[in-house]
Amino acid sequence: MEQFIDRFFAPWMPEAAEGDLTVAYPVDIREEDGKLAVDAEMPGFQKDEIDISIDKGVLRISAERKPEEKKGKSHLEERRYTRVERAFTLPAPVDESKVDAKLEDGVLHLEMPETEESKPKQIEVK
Amino acid sequence: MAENKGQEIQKQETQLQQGTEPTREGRLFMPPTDIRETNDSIVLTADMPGVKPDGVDVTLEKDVLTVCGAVADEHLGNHNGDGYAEYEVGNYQRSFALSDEIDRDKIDARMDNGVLTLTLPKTTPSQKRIEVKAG
Repeated sequence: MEQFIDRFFAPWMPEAAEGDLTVAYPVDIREEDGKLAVDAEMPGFQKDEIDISIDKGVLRISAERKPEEKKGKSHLEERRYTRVERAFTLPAPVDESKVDAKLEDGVLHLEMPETEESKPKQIEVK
Repeated sequence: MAENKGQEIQKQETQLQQGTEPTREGRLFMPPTDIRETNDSIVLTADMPGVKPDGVDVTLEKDVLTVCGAVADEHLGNHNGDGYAEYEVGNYQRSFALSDEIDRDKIDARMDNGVLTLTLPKTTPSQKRIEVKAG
């Protein structure tokens, strides 16, 4: 069996054969110029398969896609889940009505303007 | 998904062949890949989020198939490690040793939503019967 696989695809490096790449999709959250920016890598998802919600300061990103049709025999299986659900407590309150989301090349970009009350208030000492 | 918690979330970096140095700037990641084989072809699927179709470079030199993906500028963004960062952006590269049983002229590459699908058709085995003559 091993020899059969090697005939087609002997991975260049031995590490590649072990397939220890089962990880969740990574997410970045940044605060920049009065807004929160979120980038999430979601390869293979269409935009209507992704659900985003903000509730009480918690951002929830969930997505589900149909597993690809598995034809033939598998030699290497490292690609990640067909279902993702992640939730984050946002570091600042945001204007939920002005969230901008776009999906491009398998990367989800979110921009959320911070609300006025999240900006630091000057308190005058009398 | 709860069962993912605590698992390694970072992308795996490409290990270059021993004794070689990278010729591209920045970090190089190994795209997670599926390989499936049917009777007439081998299908390789690789996750390369952030790569546009024109950023993909597939080369076949001798028996080594190399898949490279350059992340588009717009996705490079401000991944400076500030804030809550789980990943770094970098290009992708991975090599596979191929056999002669692939029809090299008919390899098909497609990029959709950050997923590269390479279809490698198998050649029809040329059956040669060698007749043994009685001496």
